[in-house]
Amino acid sequence: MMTRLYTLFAAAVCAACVWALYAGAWGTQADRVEGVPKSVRDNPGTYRSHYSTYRRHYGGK
Amino acid sequence: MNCPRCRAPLEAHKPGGAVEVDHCPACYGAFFDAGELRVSLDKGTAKPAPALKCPRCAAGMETLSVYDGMLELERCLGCRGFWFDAGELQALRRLSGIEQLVGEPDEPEAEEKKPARSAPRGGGKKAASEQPPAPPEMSRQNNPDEYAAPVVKLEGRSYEHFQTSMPVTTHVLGEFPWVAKVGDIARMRDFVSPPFLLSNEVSDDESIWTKGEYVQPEEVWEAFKRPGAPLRPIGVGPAQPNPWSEQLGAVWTRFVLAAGVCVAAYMFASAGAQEKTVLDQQFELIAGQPERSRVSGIFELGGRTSNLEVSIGTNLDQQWAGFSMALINEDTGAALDFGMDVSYYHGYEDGEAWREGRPYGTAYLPRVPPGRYYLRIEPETDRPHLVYGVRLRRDVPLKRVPLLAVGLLLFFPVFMSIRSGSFEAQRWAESDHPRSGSGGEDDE
Repeated sequence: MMTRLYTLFAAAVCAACVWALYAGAWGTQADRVEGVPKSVRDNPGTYRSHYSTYRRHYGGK
Repeated sequence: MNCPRCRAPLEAHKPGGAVEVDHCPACYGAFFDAGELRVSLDKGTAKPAPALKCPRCAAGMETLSVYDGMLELERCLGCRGFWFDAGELQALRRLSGIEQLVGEPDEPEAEEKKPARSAPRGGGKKAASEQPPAPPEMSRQNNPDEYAAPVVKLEGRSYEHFQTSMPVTTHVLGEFPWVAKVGDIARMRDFVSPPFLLSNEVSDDESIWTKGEYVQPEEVWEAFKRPGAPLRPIGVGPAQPNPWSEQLGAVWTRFVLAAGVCVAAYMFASAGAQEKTVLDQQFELIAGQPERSRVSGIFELGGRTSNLEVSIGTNLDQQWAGFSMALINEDTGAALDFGMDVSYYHGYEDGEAWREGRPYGTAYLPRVPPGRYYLRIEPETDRPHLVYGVRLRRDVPLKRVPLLAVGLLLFFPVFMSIRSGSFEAQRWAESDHPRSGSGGEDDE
């Protein structure tokens, strides 16, 4: 019973691994935004990215 | 008197003393009058047992649950006698730790533990009440097996030494094909290879080998057509098969196969990956400039939907920079917004060099469809003059994917191995070779 369950689980993990490698389905969190104005290329300030998860880091020991 | 369970006439016998116990020869139950047991059973919880009548006074009985519900037995509501079904006396011995259950509770020897080997059960025809000698103390001098850990080979199986003991006959009940008497001492050596157990009993004039096989309690219960269900087993028997190890080999084999598939998939993906650089551009930001954001040139992402590696290298030194970025499709206006932090600090303190962060960073955008794109970058930094380069590579297989897969695959076999090890530790805890301390293995 456990062997059969693990076989199914292993097959699912292998399939997910192959798919993630083939489709590049793994990476940084990114927000999808539609309708960015064409004018951004000429004037980059007309579009502000909504992405602001990082915080200013002052680092150092 | 008749048995309250099967109505068979009860037989009286005296198991090693003056106390007379009424015993059912059909279902192996036993009735004890009030005060005949050395164990106090007053602290249990009771519920009515309307189906039973006391064999002594015909009063109603109640079911008494003792030892945290691990044992249930019947008590008469009138004369306070106890009825034990088959197997319940053994359970009470085990739970109370008192081998000799019959007798006055306030006798001095009531708390004294008797030798591990209990008196045989059944309808005995004779009883001996002589005081048996105390069993010899086992030590390294008289138990060389303890450190030699011999292995016995029989019919292609290897039996590991489990325990050597010196059992003493304390009571003789029933009929034997040999002369058995109180005080007989033998040297008993047990060897296990689950589900089999080999026992070697050595006395003054003979050596007897016995082979046994562990049988599940349900099987025994069914074979003897006993009513109800057997008691829940406590602990692990010396020859009890390990339910985890039986499937462990098959699960580990599947793990190796599945991990191989994941690694092979990564190698195959790496061999066929484009890993093509589609943008390599440098930018700068000088403090005081009215607009921080920049856009890259337009680049083409070809092939199938795949990932995009975004690498940023900077001239940061004891500084930090945050990059808010958007990968924008030139034709559709759809964008992927994401961010990246880069910081680099280092120094020398208390005679030791230290470093925190790196002046570069990498992000991976998943499932980016083919098309014409450009990148908008908006940096924020405490460096007065930031110079940074951006490099984009298409279709880069990530090592972390097969690593994560192998980690997930590993969880179950490791869990099973731990459970199997715990089972074996329980098995060997009562042996001469607890698994925490190991001994050598010598063939006998």
